[in-house]
Formats: sequence, structure tokens, C-alpha cells
Amino acid sequence: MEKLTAKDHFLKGLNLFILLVFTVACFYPLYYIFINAFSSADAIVRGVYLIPSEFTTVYFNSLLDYSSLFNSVFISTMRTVFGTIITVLCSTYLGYMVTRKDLPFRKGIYRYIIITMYLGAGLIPWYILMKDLGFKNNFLLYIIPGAVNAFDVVLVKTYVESIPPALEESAEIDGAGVLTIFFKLIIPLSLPIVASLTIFSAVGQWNTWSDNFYLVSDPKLCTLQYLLYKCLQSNMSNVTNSISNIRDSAASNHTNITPTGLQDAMTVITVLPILVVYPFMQKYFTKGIMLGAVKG
Amino acid sequence: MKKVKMRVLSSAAALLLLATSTACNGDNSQTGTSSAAQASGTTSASEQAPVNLSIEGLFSIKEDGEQSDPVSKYITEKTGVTLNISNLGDSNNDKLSAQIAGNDLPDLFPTPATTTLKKMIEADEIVPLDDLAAKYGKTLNSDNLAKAMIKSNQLTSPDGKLYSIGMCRGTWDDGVNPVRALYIRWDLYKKLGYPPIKSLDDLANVLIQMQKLEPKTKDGKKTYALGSSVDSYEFTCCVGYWRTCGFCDGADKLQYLDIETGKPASENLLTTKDSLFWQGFKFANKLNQAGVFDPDSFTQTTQYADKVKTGTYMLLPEGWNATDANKKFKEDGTPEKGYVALPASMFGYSNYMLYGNNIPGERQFSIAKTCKNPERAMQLLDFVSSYEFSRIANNGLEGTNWTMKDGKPTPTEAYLNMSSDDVAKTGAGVYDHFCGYESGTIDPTTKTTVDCTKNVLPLTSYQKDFIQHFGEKTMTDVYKKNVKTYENNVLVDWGTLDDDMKTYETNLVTYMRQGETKAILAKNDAEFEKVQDSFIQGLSSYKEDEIFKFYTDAANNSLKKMQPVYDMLK
Amino acid sequence: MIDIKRIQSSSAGSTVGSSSFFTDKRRNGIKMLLLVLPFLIFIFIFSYLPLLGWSYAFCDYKVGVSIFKQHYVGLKYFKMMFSGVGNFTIVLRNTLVLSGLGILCSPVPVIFAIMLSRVRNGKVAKVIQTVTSFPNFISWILVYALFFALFNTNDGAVNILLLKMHLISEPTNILANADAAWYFQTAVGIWKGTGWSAIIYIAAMSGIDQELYDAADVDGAGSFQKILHITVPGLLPTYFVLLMLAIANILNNGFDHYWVFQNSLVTDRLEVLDTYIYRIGIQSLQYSFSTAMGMAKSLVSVLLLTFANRLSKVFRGESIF
Repeated sequence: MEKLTAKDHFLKGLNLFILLVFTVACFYPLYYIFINAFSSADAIVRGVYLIPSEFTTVYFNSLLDYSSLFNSVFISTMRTVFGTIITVLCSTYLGYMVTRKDLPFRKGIYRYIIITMYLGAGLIPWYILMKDLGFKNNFLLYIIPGAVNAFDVVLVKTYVESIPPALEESAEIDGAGVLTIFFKLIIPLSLPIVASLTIFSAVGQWNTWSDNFYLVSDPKLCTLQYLLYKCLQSNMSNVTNSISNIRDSAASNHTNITPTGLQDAMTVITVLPILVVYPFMQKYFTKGIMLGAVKG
Repeated sequence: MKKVKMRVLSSAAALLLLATSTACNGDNSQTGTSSAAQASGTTSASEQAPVNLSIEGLFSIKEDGEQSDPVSKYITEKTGVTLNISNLGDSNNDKLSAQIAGNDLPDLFPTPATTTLKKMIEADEIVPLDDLAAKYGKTLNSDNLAKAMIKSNQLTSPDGKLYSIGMCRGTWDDGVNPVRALYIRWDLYKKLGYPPIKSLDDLANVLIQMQKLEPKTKDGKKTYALGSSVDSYEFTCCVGYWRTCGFCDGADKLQYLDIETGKPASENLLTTKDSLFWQGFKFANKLNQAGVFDPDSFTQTTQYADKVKTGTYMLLPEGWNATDANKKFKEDGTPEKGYVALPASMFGYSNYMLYGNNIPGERQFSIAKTCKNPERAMQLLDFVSSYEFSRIANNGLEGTNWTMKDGKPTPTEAYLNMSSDDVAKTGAGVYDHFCGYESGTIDPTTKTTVDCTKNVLPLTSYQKDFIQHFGEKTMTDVYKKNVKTYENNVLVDWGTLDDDMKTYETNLVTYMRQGETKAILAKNDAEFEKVQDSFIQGLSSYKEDEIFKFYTDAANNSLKKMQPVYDMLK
Repeated sequence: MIDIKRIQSSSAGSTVGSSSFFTDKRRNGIKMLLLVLPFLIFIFIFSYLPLLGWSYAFCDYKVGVSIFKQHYVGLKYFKMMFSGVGNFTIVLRNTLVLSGLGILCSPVPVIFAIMLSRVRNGKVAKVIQTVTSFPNFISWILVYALFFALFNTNDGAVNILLLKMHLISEPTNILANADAAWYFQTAVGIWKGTGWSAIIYIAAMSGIDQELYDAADVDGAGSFQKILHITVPGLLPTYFVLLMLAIANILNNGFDHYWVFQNSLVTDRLEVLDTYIYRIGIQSLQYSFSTAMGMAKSLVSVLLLTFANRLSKVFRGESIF
């Protein structure tokens, strides 16, 4: 153990200070959105900065009007759980296989995978392909096409290459097959990166609505994000509705639900579940903060 | 860890299979049953067999699918058609493009742009409607305006055949709140003693003084004479005035049309220094020099609408903004404050675009080749095209929100005070973008507007003052005073530029925005001149003269091409 | 420990059948290939098959007609990009500058991760890590609304604060400031992405052998030396891989980010390739044009990746891909 000089203390303090300033800069915007999501439309226009003003849950209530709300939460949860499991498993497996020196054409295969990150032909070929493969109005659309994520493969390969090869060799000598090594050795050793990929995948799955938008019209398969999107759209078209009709009646023009407040509420709904799941995953990859940390 | 994973995986697989099987059954397919009755278009609707049609478009619905509100039920009752609605919102070309590419369209869909339409015709994805309209278009063929719509659509179609039926024909202007005009705070104008306004220059001076009278809004925020949202500078600075002068705009604001003659401007708007385009920006610049042009105009987006509602601006160019603001003033307990549009007679102009008549219809619908019941689809289009249904679409079924009193549809008290949620429950407004006539069009049978809630509320104090000031009996009278033409019946097909020119046009638009911004922000008149000069000089590299000529020719050609429709409307 | 038997049997070759083509090594190789084959097919279907759509970049795309019957127009849609005055050069410049600045700032998440590792209190560190990833979840539209609320000239919180502290005499309008645009946007990007990107580096730090640190302690190394000689080299492989991917991605800035911050006063600096393509695309509603542009960008990215890989081989002695 080294002795801590005054200089060390100062640097540590400075380190913490900079981190905290950045943390506040990251915290306040979400807090701002949060308090605005609970403030009335008029208050939002006036400016809400510290605490909710004219407290209201009207934006959240407007979502309760959708009968498919609970179903969409269910669908979103299902897609997040299964989609994440599938993607993480497949990408980690592929990332491991690409590190095995006994895989022929290893380099070519790796390049074959990586290049897909930069290749894209746009919306219409994707749409036609999904349609022809039978993914229209099909839950599998949410979890199958994304099963192999090239970026994840890259991360896994880089991480696995840092695992001492002696471990793998001794397992092989003991007669372990590829899959056994993968599940019993690689995954446990790669938990930090697997946890990171889980978070990335889960967040991506939870937030995606475009596949729903283009290919799924069955309301039973509607995801939460898409529902939120529709809610926002219909709210905005309510605004345009009253625009083109210029009704003098009290009805359509007076609305206490503005798109801004609705978007704030949507962000809260989107972020909250992630914040709940985050701590569980965090303990796996913050080992880096804990163990790999420089002591003293 | 592994055992848990295995268990999770196997139950996952089971769930997946379950989910998938239910999902696959959920695909909405048409269960069209044809009936012999369809052969003749005159069978009474209630005798027809039920059929499901899918449709995409702008609808005021909460959830997609089959609707259960009273108006939807009414449609099913009268036509046998149950609609499966997908709300596209106002601007979602992406989804439509993907569906067109995959030949995966719903039965009824919004007609795409002419270039895409051409391709759809060649790929045989769209149904030509001439025969269907002739056979099943009972309402459409009995009404002159509808016939004009059909003729107009035929003339502008790529091969002369009819491919779309236009909905929301006519106008939403009610003669009291023109959609775009120069709306000012009449109560403050009164306080100033009604100084004469004969030009934009006068208007600028008046607005500057108005801002001094009310330097802060109710919330204590600074007021301005004028403000804009990002990249909408022409809307803000020019269009209201153009309408007041009797011109309707078009083609990226590079050209406008005289509503009396239908002719385009002969001078290049951008290169002529005192054109209406530059007049608008000189006006804005004057306001900016006086410090009363909102500096946030160049960065704000949705915040503009919020500021409008709280009365931040003395001048508003758009009618619905003014109505919103007036409503808020009333709610805030200051009903004497309000915006009113200035009439053309103040400026000495003889034409005023009070009613923008959309003859082809604001929303076009087509029938897809994959539709199994095109005849029923056409019958549906015909059914919703009537004045009667248009009123129902806007206000709900008769006897619910409105009743007939002395032959005039009158809204109930309850309806006038209903919240928007309750209104939605009565079915009013769901189909107001899928009905024959726009809300302000006059129904010839009842001689009232399609939307019976227009002009039903009593006049406000500032409106009464306005009428009194001009010595007339109603607001519409004031606007029509000394004005030759106030209805815009101009039909124009602007066409599309060649691919080579499109990039130039895109860049020209960007260049215009930059020039407009510089013009507004010029610190003094000399600098404004300099900005103007350098802007005009730079135009040549954008091929602006070619683009201008293209649109001018398109407008002139339209006058000739659409003559048959004009003749029908006489 | 080396298994002598295995070596002997593999060099002796297979004894089944007359062909000695299928040595143990080869058999093992085929087995490996079979283990990845399903995934390679999967990738082919979902990532390579849609590329047939690139053919439409060369035709006047007609809906529903097979590719062979399309009307071939050559490079017309590629040329469209360059035809509009000198705008393409400006757009390209903006794209490269903004990507370049991003790459310049790519060490920031690494530094952040290392700084985080120096925080003694585990709970505090976890909270910081969680909170700093918040901005990643805010959609760009809301980000702009936020920044407008903070920086607008009328009642932006930042302006009011600065005015009160007498640091400025007039409100600033940074959202409309062309000169500051590039740096401001880079700062916005850092704010939004650092916490999230750092996750990868935090995970990578777990892979660094703890014994290395212990050994360094024994040698009497100070904390800064430990960071320099153990942590940083441990993170370098991950960093370089991500750097290379970022270089290949130079032309793809991210549409949403720059679209929401654009206005006529900063267009000259913030119009990037993605927004420019979108703008032209809306005008023409042409599928062929956007396909042509997508294809061009893909090819450039692959070229850049190859180039960066070569450089890595030259300078670091190993190629990553």
C-alpha cells in the first residue's frame, strides 16, 4: 500500500469533482423532463425548472384510454426478454467462434460479418424481404432478424481474445467440446461484456417501434413504443384537426394535452423500466470499477 | 446458472410457439363476400352484403382497426361496409412508399404524387375509376362540384384516366377567420385610435406602437410585434399580406397566382427588388430594426405555437393561431383582447383571398388493384361524398350533437361546451378528412356551412368594434366590402421538375432561407440593400431563372388545360 | 501439457477409407464450419440478400416490375448528388469535420471510465455510472427542446444566469451561432454519448488481470503509473477496434442529431451528408436516388475500413480485421 500524499488527495478530489459536475449535467435534463411530464400544459409554456407546477397526470391518463395498453406492455416485455436472450447468445457464440484458431477462413468470416455493419440497401428491400419471409404480423419479426448483431460480435471477439488461451487449451485437453467450452468457460469469464450486450440489446428492443410500424398492423402485436408513437400522432392530428376546422366551439381547440407534455411523459415511460433493470446488470460489468480498479 | 438458462429457454420456446400461432391468426385479411346486388349500383345499401375494407389516411382515431363510434356504425348500416382503419397521420410517405413497392396496399389509400402514380399505373397496382365512378357514383354525378373534381383529376392524371376521388372539396374558410391573413390585436389598435394603415410600412409603425402598449404578456414574458418558427419566414412575413392582396401562393413561394385572373406573376419575385416577396422581408426587417422581431424566430420550433397562444406577438399570419390565442385570452379572464384579420379595403386592394376553394379536393383517395371489392369501395367513396355525410363527419349524427331547426342545422348547447374526448365519443370529427366537403363549404340545401358550429358563437367585443368601425353589419361584409373577387377558384398543376433540376431547387430553397434570414437581420436600410443585391447576384448559380420559368409556364399552361373545369364551374 | 497421442494420430492421417484428405485437422475444421454455417446463412439472408436492392440505384425504379425489365439509367442518380451548385463540397466538409471532431474526442469515454475506476466508494461510482448514461435515452427531438429551453435568448436559463452574473450584457444565441456550431455540436455529442460508451470500457477493464496490479504494487508503482502501464494498455485493443469502426463510419453522422439542430443560420456548418440526402430525397420522392447514395456510402465505408486496417498493421503490427 502506498502512502497517500496531499497531492494524491487533491487529485482524487478533483477527479470526483469533475465526475460529479458531469453527472449533474446528465441528471438535470432527465429530471427536467420528469417534472415537465407532471406539469400542466400552461405551466410547461411558462417554464418548469425545479419542481412540477400545476401537478397533473393527464398525459399518462391519456394513455390509459388505449385498451391495448397492457397488451402492448406485455408484447414489449416479451420481445425484450426473448430478443435479448437470442441476440446475446447468438452474437456471443459467433464472437467466440471467430476467435478459435481452428476455424477455417476465420479472417474471411470475420470480415464477412463486420462489413454488414456498413451495408444497407434501405427501407424498401428490407420491407420486401421481411414480407416475403413471412414476418408480416408475426411476433418473430421482433426477435429473429436481429439475432446476429455484428457490433456485438466485434466486442465479444475483442474481449475473449484477452482471456488467457491456457484456460481454453486445458479444457480441450480435458475433452470438452466446443459448446461445453462456450457455455461453461467462455460465458462465465465474459460476464462483463455479456452484461453490457444484454443492456444494449434490451434497451434497443424496448425502444424499437419501426418494425411494428411498417410490418405489423395487428393490434394484439402492438408494442408499447408504437402505442406511444400513435398516441403522439393522434394528439398532433387533434391539433391539426382543430386547425383545419377552426371550430369556434369550446371543444376541440381547448386541450390540456400538448405534444410537448406527451413527449415528456413518453420518455418517462420509456426510461423507467430500464432504470429498474439496470442495477441488476450493472453488478456484472462494474466489476471493472471494483476489481480492475487502481487501488489507493 | 446453466440449468436456469435451459429452463428459461425451453419455456421461452413454448411461449414463442404460442405467441406466434396466435399472432399468425391475427392477420387481418379481407373477407369480402360479393353479392349479385353489386351488379347494379342502384340496390339500396341496406340490402348489400357486409364487406370489410381496409383504408389508410388521416383519421381522428385513437386506435387503429375497426371503429365503434356512432358514425362508423352509421356507415356500416347504410353501406354494409366495415372499415378497418390505419391512421397514417398527416405526413407519412415512407410507409406508403414501402407498401407501394411491395404491392401491399390496403383497399383504399391516399393517392401518391404524380411521378409515383405513373409508376403504379405501369405496374398495374391501381384501379382506373372512370367506369366505376360512372356506374356507382350516384352522389358524385349529381353534383356540379363533384363532377368538376372528377374532370380536374382526369386532366391532371398521367394518362387522362381517373385514378383518384378527391375528398374535402371546397373551403374551410368561414368568411370570418380567413386561414391566412394579417391578424392584429384589434383592442390595442382601438387604443391607438385606429391610425390609418395603407401599406406594410404603416402596419409596421402601428405594430411597433402596439408592442409598446403591451410590453409583457400575462406571464411576464416579453412581447414582440412579429415572430416566426424555424424556416417559415415566408409564411410569417409574406403570405398573410399576399392573401390580403388577392394572391394565392404556390411552388415553394417562387410564384403566386392572381385569384381574379388565375395568372401567375410576370416578374421574377426574387430578382425584382420591390416585389411582394421583398416587401414582406423589408417589413420584417423594419420590425427587427425597432427591436420587436423575436430573435428566437430562427431557432424555435414547437415553441412558436406556445408563444402564439399566450399572446406574445402583435401580428399573426395564420387564422388558427389567432383563434387559439383568442380562446386563451377568454380563458385567462381578458375577453376584451383579441385578434382580427385586416380587410383588403384598408390597403386599397380590390381582391382578397377570403375563401380558398379546393376544387380537386384536399385529400385524394385511390383504390388498389388488390382490393377484392372495388365496386363496394367506390360505393363507399360515393356515399361519403355527400353534403349530408360531410356534416355528419364533422358534427356527428343528427339528433346527437345537432338538430334541424327551421331547416338549419343547429348545434346543441351541450355540444358547444363538450370536451374533445366526449366529442370523439360521439364520432364527430373521425371522418372529417374523409368526407366530400370541407367544413366551410356552403351546403346548397340548407344554405349553411357543412360544419354547423361555424360562426355560432356570439361576437366578441373586439369583433363588434371591428364591424362598427367599418360601418357594416357582419364581419364577412367587412371583408367583402369593395372587393371584386374573394374566392380563389384557381386550379393549377405545378408539375415536377426534371431530376437534374431537383437538386438545384433543393439548394435554392436552402439559399432562400439563408438570404431571408440575413435580410431580416440587416442592421439598417443600407445593409438591407446590400443583402438584397448579393442575394440576387448569387441566384444565377442556382438556375433560379430556369426554375421560375418552369413554374410560370406550368401556371400558364394550367389555365389552358383546366379550362374545361372552369367552364363547368361557371 | 501436450497430448502426445493426439499429435501422433493427426500426423498419421485418417485410417478410414482410402482418402487421406480428411485428416483429423480437416475434419475438425469442417466441424467448426458447420457450427457457424447456420449463422453465416442467416447473415446472408438478412444482410446480403437485401443488397439486390442496390440494382435500383441504376434504374428508373418501377414498382412491381422485376429487375431485369427495369429501365437502366446508368449513373444518373449518383450524379444528382453533385449537380447542385457547390453544396456538395460544403456538405462533405461539414460531415468530415464533425466526424473528425468526434474521432478526436473518442478517448473521452475511456478517460471517463478510468476516472470512474478511481472513485473509492462503490455505491457512488455505480450511481455516477447510471446517471451519466441518462442522456442516451432522451430522443434528439427532446434534446433540442431542452437545449432551446436552456439557451434561447428570451428566457433561456443559461442566458438569464449569465446576465445575472454580469458575464454578458446581451443574451447569446448559441443555437444560431455558425462559428460555434461545430464545437457546440461535438460537446452535445459528448454529453449524450459518453456515459453509454463508457460501459464497454468499464466492462473491458474487468478483463484486465488483477495480478498485474498486484505485481505493480509490489514493485512500488504509483497509481498514475499503474494506469499508464496496465489499465491503458488493457483498454487499447477495445479502443482501437472501436476507433477503426468509427473511421469507417465517417460519412454516417447520424441524421437525427443534426436535423434537429439545423436552422438557416447554421446550415452552412451543420448540413451533413445524411440530412442533405434526405432533403433532396423529399424533393424528388425518388427511391433510386436514396438507394444510390446509400450504396455509395457503403462502398466508401468498406474502403475506409480496409484502409484503417492497413494502417493499423503498419503502425501497430497487427491488423484488427
